[in-house]
Amino acid sequence: MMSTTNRARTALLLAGLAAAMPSGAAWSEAGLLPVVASGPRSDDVAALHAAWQGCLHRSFGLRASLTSPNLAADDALRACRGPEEAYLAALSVSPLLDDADVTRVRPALLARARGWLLGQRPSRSL
Amino acid sequence: MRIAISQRLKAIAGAARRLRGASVLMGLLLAPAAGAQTLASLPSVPSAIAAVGQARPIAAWTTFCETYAAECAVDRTEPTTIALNAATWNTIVSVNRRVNKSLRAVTDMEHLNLADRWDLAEDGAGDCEDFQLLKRKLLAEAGLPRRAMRMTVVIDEKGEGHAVLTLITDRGDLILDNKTSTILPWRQTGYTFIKRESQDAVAWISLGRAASPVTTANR
Repeated sequence: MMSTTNRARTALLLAGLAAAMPSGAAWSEAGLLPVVASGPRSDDVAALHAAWQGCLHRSFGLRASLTSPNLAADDALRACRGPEEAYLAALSVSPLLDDADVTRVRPALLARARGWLLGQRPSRSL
Repeated sequence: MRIAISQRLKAIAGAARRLRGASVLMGLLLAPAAGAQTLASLPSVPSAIAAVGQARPIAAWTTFCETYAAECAVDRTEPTTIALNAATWNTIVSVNRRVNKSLRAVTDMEHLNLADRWDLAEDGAGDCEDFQLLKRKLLAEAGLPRRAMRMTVVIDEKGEGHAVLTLITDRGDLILDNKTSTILPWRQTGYTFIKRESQDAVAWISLGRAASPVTTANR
């Protein structure tokens, strides 16, 4: 049985995924809702991570032309909290990690993301 | 007569070439592969991942330990580090490469219609944790201390949870991975380190200073 925390996180995950899906007509027709039984599939986590990456790169790119790289990176991280939270919610219910792991590692993931933005690396991988 | 002699010489030369080719092939099979890592290539300054506190075990790992108790048991009389020498290094490189080449990579969902299951890939297929569990079993059978080989959870370059095997050695913490057959010091993997099996109990510990500082390009 899911804890309240996991239910909230799962709702966040579904919201994040729904934002990337078509209008929902297909699901309405089928009368189906996605079932998250024991955590998202790995491609869901990867997709949400890629969505967060994309948001960060777009936001940073826009801001870096107007302000310093450090401020642009900070702004991008703030602007992309929604995709970040959707990604972390999915990660916290994936098979190998739990919410305590993700809470503890979040600062390291943000620092890694910030480092990559500031490094202006050719690879978009975070 | 001359023609017969020259034909015989050609036949002898051909046989000699074939024999040399067979010798080369045997050498390739028996010796480490060309370009195999050497012990000398490891950093001269060893680095270990810091451990901080306890972590919750993974559900599928708990189930695995119920089935394969010997694979999870911690023998506290074993050394906590592997003393690397040429022989142990060659064994590690060989097992790592052999398992990576011989198993078919497949997700647990595709393979077993399960979100996560840990086992020893007895049917020749598995995902990341199965690769590393099999490597540990083979290395333990070769005499390396199981206590110094710890299953570890990281976040990989795609932002996903991934299982690797940490070898705790006198040359630092080295990572066996199924995404590459190159054995890397933990700092060079580009992964964010989350938790690993304890060396003192059948349990998991959280890892501190989680992000390896040197990131790599996409693999």
